Formats: sequence, C-alpha cells, structure tokens
Amino acid sequence: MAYRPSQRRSFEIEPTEPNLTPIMNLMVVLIPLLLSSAEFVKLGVIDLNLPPAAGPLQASVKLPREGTRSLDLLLMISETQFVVSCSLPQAVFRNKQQLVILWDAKEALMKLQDLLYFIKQKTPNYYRNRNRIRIQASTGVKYQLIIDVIETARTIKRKNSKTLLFPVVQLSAGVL
Amino acid sequence: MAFKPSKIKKHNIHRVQAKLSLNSMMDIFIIILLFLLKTYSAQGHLFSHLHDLQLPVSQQENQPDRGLELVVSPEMIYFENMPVVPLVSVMSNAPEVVQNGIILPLKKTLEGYSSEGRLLEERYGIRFSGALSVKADRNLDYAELVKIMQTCGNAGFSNLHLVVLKN
Repeated sequence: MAYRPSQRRSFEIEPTEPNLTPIMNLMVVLIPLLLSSAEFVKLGVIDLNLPPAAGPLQASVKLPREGTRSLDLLLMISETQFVVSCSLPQAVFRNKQQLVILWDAKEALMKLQDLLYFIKQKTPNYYRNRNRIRIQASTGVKYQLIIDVIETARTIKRKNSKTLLFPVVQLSAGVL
Repeated sequence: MAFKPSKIKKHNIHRVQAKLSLNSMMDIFIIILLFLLKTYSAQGHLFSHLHDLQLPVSQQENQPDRGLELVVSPEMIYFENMPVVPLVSVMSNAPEVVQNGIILPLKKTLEGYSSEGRLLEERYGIRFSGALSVKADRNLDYAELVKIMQTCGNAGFSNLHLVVLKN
C-alpha cells in the first residue's frame, strides 16, 4: 500500500501538455504538398475512333457479306428534333415514333434512350453492326448536345445496372 | 535619478511564460488535411487550364491519359498550348484556312507531330497510337467540330479522346 502524500508538501503537480510543435511542422509540409496534387475539377474522356484517312496504303475495304443484314443505325440531330433510322422493318415500329421532338433536352434524351433500347431489343442477333450508331447533326447543334447524345446512346441504366446499347459511336463527316 | 530597485521585490516577481495554444490550430489542420486527402489525385494535373473554356459536362468514368492536347476555345485553336488558328477564320471558311473541310494550318501542325511519331516507331519501336485529347468548348458548333475531327483523322490522329467535366 502506498504512503499517503505528506500534507506539508509545498509543490504542485502542473498539468503536462504534449509538445505539438513537431506535428505542426509536419502539417505545414503536408498541406501544401496535398494542395498541389488536389483534384478540384474532375475530368473524364469519351473515346472516339475515327476511320483512317483514305490513301493508297490503306487496306482494301471489306465488301458486305451476302445474306447478312446490317443494322445501319443512324441518328440525325437538328436543333429541334432527333430522328432515328435503321434497317429494321417498319412493322417493328408500329406503335413507336422514330422522331423525338427536342422541346426539353433532358426529356428528349430520355425518350431517345427508350427508343434506342427498343431498337436494341428488336435487333436480331444475325444483324451486323449491332453495336454501332452513326450520328449526324445539323449546323447550329452544340457540342454539349453531341456529348449528351453519345452518352445516351452508349449505355442505359436499368435496375441499378448499366446495359450497353450502342457503344461504337461514329460521328458522320457530313453536316445536315 | 531613479531609485535603486529593491532586491526583495525582484526575487518575488513570478515571470509567467506566454504559451501559444496550438490545439485549435491542430483541429483546423486536421480538417484541412482530411479534405485534401479526399481530393488527392495521384495523376496530378494532366491538362492545361484555359479561363475562357467551358468543357461539356458528362458522367463518363474513363480517366484521361496524358498525351497530345488540342484545345478549341471560343477564340482560338491551340495545339500543345501553342495558338494555331483563330476559330473565326475556321467558321468563315476562309479559303487560305479551310479547304474541303480540312483546316490547313492545323493539319500542317498535326502532320509534323504524326510524322515524328511514325519515325520514332520505325527507329525505336515506340508505338504511335494516333491518340489526341480534344478539349473543346461546350458551345462549339457541330460544323466546326466536324472540320476539326476531319483534320485530325486526315493528319493521322484517328484515336480521339473527348475531354469532359465529370458530373
């Protein structure tokens, strides 16, 4: 058992504080370092492959195989509407409009995505270029809308999972 | 004449040492540190920044790679931070600038790089991928975008990465 401290003791035990100066030094070094490598603006990229320029060294163009049909999905964008065309028989589109009016961009993009999903589902497996979409736009269409359309045409979110629609996007060289 | 200081009094003075309280500053630093750690990017700044450029917004999750960079601002087309051609002359289809949808000054600049890339591929086996990051303003017209893409493809850069701002 420890002895009881003498009541005659005159000194007082002062509360001790940890020395924070080395930690402060570390912070002063760490913060500028992290500030320099902080990512305040997040960037992403959309990959787009252009067809190689025509020339004498280019490999001969493949002729279409006989007996196989190509989907040839084309999306035309003007300042007021989206028009979708493909080689599926017209009977497939009985109750479906191939034209989306561009009143409200967000709503129109959703309708376009629904239409593309419908086409994707109705395309038989033996069709060629099932994953390809060609985009053609008119003068006056802004780059932001093209990016939105590319994003809309590539994937669709269904039941918390992403489904591929037409991941191969080609921009047409022609202007409507 | 001043009085001589008392020796008794002098011994009784308790000199209090002023201490800087670092606790609150430590708290601030810890919060800043956590915030910066959250926004930390090992890739660093891959792209140059231009004030008058508004990138399109998208939800793409692909990460940008470091590579050659083409910037299309509302005033000028830049390649590797060097001004190449004013956008106004591209829009007006000036005959000394645009021919058959190809932007001639841009093509000349790009061809210099692509021929150098091909030379490196031949000599040292470093593959020339023809990759080019395109940072274009969100209000750019499709007609100009097509001209730029056509020029890139024609000059050997067929693998384009369109840079967007993540949502």
